[in-house]
Amino acid sequence: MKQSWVDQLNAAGVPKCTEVRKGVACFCLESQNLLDSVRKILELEYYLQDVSASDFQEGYLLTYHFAHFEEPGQAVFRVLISHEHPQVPSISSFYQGAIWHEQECTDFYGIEFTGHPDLKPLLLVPEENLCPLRKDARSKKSFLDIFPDCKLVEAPPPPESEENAGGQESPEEKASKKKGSGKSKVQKEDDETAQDSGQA
Amino acid sequence: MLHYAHEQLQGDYYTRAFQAGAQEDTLIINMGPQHPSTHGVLRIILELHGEYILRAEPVLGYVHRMQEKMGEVKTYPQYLANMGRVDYLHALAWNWAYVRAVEQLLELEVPERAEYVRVITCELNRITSHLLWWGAYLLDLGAFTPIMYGFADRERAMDLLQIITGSRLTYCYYTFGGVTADLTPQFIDGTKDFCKYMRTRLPMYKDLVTDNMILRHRVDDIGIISVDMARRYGVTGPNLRGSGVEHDLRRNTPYSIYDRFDFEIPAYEECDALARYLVRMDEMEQSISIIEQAIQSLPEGPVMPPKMPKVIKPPKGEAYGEVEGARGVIGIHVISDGTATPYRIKLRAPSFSNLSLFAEVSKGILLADAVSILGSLDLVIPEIDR
Repeated sequence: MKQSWVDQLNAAGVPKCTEVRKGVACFCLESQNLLDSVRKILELEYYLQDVSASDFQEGYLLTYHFAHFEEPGQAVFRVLISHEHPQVPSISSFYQGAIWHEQECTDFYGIEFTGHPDLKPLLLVPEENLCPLRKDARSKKSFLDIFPDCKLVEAPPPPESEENAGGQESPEEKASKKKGSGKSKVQKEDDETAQDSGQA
Repeated sequence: MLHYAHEQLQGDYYTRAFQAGAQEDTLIINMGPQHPSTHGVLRIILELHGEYILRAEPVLGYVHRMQEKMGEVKTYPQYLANMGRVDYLHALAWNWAYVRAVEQLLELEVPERAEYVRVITCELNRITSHLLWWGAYLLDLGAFTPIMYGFADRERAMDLLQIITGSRLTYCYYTFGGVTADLTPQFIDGTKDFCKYMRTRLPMYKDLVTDNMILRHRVDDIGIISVDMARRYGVTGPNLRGSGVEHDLRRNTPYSIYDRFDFEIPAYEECDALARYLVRMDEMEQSISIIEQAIQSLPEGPVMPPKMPKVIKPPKGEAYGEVEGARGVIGIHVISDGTATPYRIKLRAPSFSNLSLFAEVSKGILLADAVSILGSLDLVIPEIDR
């Protein structure tokens, strides 16, 4: 019984998952695969429980919880995005309930949800950009340390080049994000070009 | 001076953003943040054409306290006290969701008697929550008497809970591994009497209010929430069961000892405010039945595990504590980094998801019906803002 709903999710094309705890299936996704998987899970008639973010050394971790009205089991989508480019596609076109959840994540962490209808502050004062839940470097912990059963699908750049990457996003990087394959390699090259341009 | 007045007329950030999309010949008004029918500081900006709502936008954050940040700076036991303040009407359900999450992390066994005590008190708290909703909803719709009946009955249950928890509203009674105090004979006798008493009151409520024609006209066919809409917005609890879905965590994924009791999950197919009203009225009966069964089979024993660590330091990992609250699925996602302070706590408040569909459901309805819909959703504003 327990296996069947995980199998069902796998059969529907949601990428291979790990059942981390009893009744909880975890899917580590790349941000470009997120919308595809969300569409599939909506077709399987799962409802959205919540969307939340948390701050780790490797980047911001977005956690999407889904559950079903009739069947037992909880599906968890995890997407890790870098601190330099905190961008992730908005799932609000499929789950309208995510609109507020995503606005809340933007309030707390400054994450940008592309395609969100109106990404204005929800709970905090609109005049200030506070991001109160961002952690400082000292208190940040490693994602892999806390979730050893999860592997990183979207390898972030090593910490040294992270500092050099700077704020601005180059168009090449945007393109490389869409491509997806060989992610960590492409990212690294981009960082080097960013560094070069900064020196020039 | 005139310039200053002009500035004032511009409205705040949210009003200006809302006005930008306005059509011609419409009226934009603020409902709240101090509107009596929102039962808290909820503000809704409305664009009206005559008496009809063209557009509605809830503005949140007036009682935002950053509960999730507090979770990251307090130790595990210190944060227990916050839970009663998130939803002051069903505080014990929030207590339960949090201790469940931490118990999962610690892999703690809860003694059998403690589980029974939790079920009895949580269901009693659910009745008080529904009674307040019942009185306040009818007050919104213009009936003044029911809230007096509702409060008088609720008072009895709150007196009972006060005996064992020591507080009247913002309970902090459950703790990791069990409950802080055992039931007293006074509480057990009082609860038995209360159940008997409520069984005579609920039929009276039905005669007095539920079958009233004026009420029926205010709630019948108002605020239709389809199952598909509920799914997209994450609506749970009595609001979902009013759309015909028999989803209740106490039955679907029976936590604690709910699988030992015989009770029904009331559900109505009509999807309107009346269906949601009837679900809650039936739920009170079911809660009474659960309490009676639990008291009857209440086992002897301790209410705390024999050996508890002095400092609560859960191992690294995460846990998601879910319980069925009076307003829907309460979820608390705790990420632990192995220290005495949680790394991250996310609170999933059912009212947050339940209110988020208001913009969609209120399109094209009468302003007076918006009050009826808001009341039928049973919102608790501190839970939405957290």
